[in-house]
Amino acid sequence: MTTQFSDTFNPPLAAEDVLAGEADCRSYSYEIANGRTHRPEAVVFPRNAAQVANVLLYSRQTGIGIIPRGAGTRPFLGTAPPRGVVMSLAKMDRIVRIDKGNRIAVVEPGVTLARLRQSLAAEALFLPPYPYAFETATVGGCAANCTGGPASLKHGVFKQNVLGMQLVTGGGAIMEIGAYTMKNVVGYELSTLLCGSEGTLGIITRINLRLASLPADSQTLMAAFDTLIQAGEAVQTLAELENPPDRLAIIDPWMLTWLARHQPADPFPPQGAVVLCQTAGIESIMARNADYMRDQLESRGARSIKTFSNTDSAETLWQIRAAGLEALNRGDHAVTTADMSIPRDKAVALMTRFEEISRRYDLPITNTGHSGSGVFQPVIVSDPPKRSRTNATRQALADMSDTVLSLGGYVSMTYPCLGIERAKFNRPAPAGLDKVFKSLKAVFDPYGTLKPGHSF
Amino acid sequence: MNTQFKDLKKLGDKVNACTRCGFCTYYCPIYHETREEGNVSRGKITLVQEVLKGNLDLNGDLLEKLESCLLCKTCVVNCPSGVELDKIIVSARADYVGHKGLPLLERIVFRYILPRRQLFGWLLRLVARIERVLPRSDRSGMIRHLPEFARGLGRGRNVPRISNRFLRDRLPSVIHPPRGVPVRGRVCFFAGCGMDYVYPQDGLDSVHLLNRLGIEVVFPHDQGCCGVAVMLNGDFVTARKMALETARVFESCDTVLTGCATCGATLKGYRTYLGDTAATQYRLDRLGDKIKDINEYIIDVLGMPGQTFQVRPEFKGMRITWHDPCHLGRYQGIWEQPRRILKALPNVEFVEMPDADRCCGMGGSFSITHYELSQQIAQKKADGIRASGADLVVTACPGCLVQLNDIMLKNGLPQQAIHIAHLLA
Repeated sequence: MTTQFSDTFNPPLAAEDVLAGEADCRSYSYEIANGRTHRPEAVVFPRNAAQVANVLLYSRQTGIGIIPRGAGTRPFLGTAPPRGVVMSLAKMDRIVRIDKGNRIAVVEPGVTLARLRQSLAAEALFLPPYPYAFETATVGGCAANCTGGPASLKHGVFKQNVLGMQLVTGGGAIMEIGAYTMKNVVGYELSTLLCGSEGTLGIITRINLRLASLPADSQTLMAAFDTLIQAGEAVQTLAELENPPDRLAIIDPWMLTWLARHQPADPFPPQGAVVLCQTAGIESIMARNADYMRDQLESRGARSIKTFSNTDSAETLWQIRAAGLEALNRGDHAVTTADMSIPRDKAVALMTRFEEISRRYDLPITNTGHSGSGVFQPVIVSDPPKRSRTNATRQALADMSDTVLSLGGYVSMTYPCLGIERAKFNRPAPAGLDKVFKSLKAVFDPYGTLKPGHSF
Repeated sequence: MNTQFKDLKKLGDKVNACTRCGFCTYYCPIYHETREEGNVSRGKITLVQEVLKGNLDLNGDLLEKLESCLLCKTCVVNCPSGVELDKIIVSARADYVGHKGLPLLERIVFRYILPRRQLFGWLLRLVARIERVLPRSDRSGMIRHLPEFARGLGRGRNVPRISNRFLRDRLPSVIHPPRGVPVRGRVCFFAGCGMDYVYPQDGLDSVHLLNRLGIEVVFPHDQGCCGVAVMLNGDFVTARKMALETARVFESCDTVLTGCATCGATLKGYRTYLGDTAATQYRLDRLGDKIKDINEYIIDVLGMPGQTFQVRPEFKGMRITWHDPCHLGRYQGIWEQPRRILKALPNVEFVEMPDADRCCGMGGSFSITHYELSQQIAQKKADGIRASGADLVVTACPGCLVQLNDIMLKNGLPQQAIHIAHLLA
């Protein structure tokens, strides 16, 4: 495979940028349905758009599908192609430009959020999105999956921070889409289409990011509640503030118990529910906001509120929460998750019904997500996995999806789940849209090079 | 399924705790340089799981991945799922050795040289003779430049000379506190190869430091190598022999001190890997309980306030910084003790360097098998040292001393790295 690759590519990839050995390829095995893994035939590390285009050309000639990959913090989604090559963008990681005056950064897809954050902080800038993998995820991965997180209430999801990008389409064409400015209406707005397309339309090779000024400091409040519903209502209230929190998240009862058991430095109460919210900015504004948030939390029944008066002291809280969420996906539980989003004002109704479903099937359901933006990632914990549990889990998932749909929301299966087809739980695309999606896929990826079988 | 993976099997379901979150990619010094999945915890665990499932052979190709790990434990202490990669790697290596045997060179060194301290000593004396003709890397001539024919050990590496008089030849069996200092305790001292053969002065300094604190030091002359390379490369049979021999040598001691972080971690770590019978486990547990690092002993056991100490005159007025050896911090949980000593010292200014706890990249035999990569990793330490503005780097591990001095010389940095025992007067 290695020789074939170097022969075909012009310009060729460097020898160290192509891995074809058994062990190397196995380490990039990606998950398909039912916990099975699929080993790619090779792993390539292109360093620039031209190399990406060449790899895609090779794929066209051989029929071997390409699976793009960033830091791999979220597993591959959907079905696996019968033959596949993983294209890792991890070595395409230059920070091309930080334009302080215009609040724009131009970066290559392999830049990790941690490195970007450090470089931006040196210029008193930052990128608002704060996904779970806030250190290790790559910018390309965040864009391709349109990541959200606790900052999404105020700052939007990742697509709100993408102004434009350079793209290599599945068909092999290198093009600049979007803009270096706030607006570019010459032609259609394609940059937003690519955000969330999960690597099925093209490989992002450069991104123009919209930045914000780094806040002088931040205050974080940790409010403890007796029940999840109370916490949910508190989040609702905070979300409706004129000046909503910069970061907002709920930690539910199951997660609190889990953290108490597994995290040695756990700062959270062991029971009930916690609302974590942060307000950032200059001292006077921050203090006023924090007071206001405190009032709201108290009026919603917070039994205690702890204030962390600067960014550093609070970071551990956010990190522990993120770590808890990551650890939740332990390989030894059979965990099932889905991305469910509903109109914000239905959040409490949703949580109430999920609690009922959890009791009905005797399965813990923990809510990750819910940062006031109406996006939930509930996780059904099946511990230990058993045959009967699997059926119960399917039923629970079906009930949860019905709930979401009935509340006017959407379900997208984020992870391969017990062999259940994604499409089964999604609201069917409105008439005509399905055709549009298929056409778009055909336009961008006419040969079905990128993640064949994954979508449309 | 394979019955051959008995060491991995001992870990049970812990091998499956990885959630593929990728937090390890942020912390792994090797992944930082190579960006390859096989070079980070997550990828290695995937491979081990594939082996246990029967999808992958435990062969040379895979062994190469298993060897490409510093065992620095940075991933371990930061893993949200608490995955202990170091145990997985060492167990996998042990299963490999159990199944396929050791490569020839390792077999010779591990089985026939390291456990035989006199033979080892003579070979080193021979090497010491040869080293005399190597070009000097520094003015004192204490560090020499490795020639091309020895590039297998590291092309262009600067190495400290093997001493012409080993520590064991300089110390009597019992070393008493100076006259006038009341004796308040008695310990045994484990030198380790680094202090015995390469840095005997640091060994002397350690012993005399203890003496000045009123501690009588016993130096059993039949002590040998701690066997870290043997154990961590998976030759548990030989490592067990060496461990039990060490346990025998120190049988009558209550407290065994060492000034080498790696030896300390290893002596405390025998109990994790080498207990094959209840009797052996008991003996290794007992040995492990006796071991104390010198910093740990001074602060935790003697309860000495930091103000007890002075610095040697040649270090007065310097700005000093501390490098945390992996084997001291992440392996033994010793972080604060050396800092308490250093921060309280008069006539010097203590500064923290950025990433003081980042692995220096030595990794013992890793820096021999992967010299260039180890230098790339070390470069980050050199950058940190430069950024700290310190004149002197202080640490407590001969392995780190070799690596840090090498990279600083390569960078043309004026600083040197020394052992804390040598700093203190």
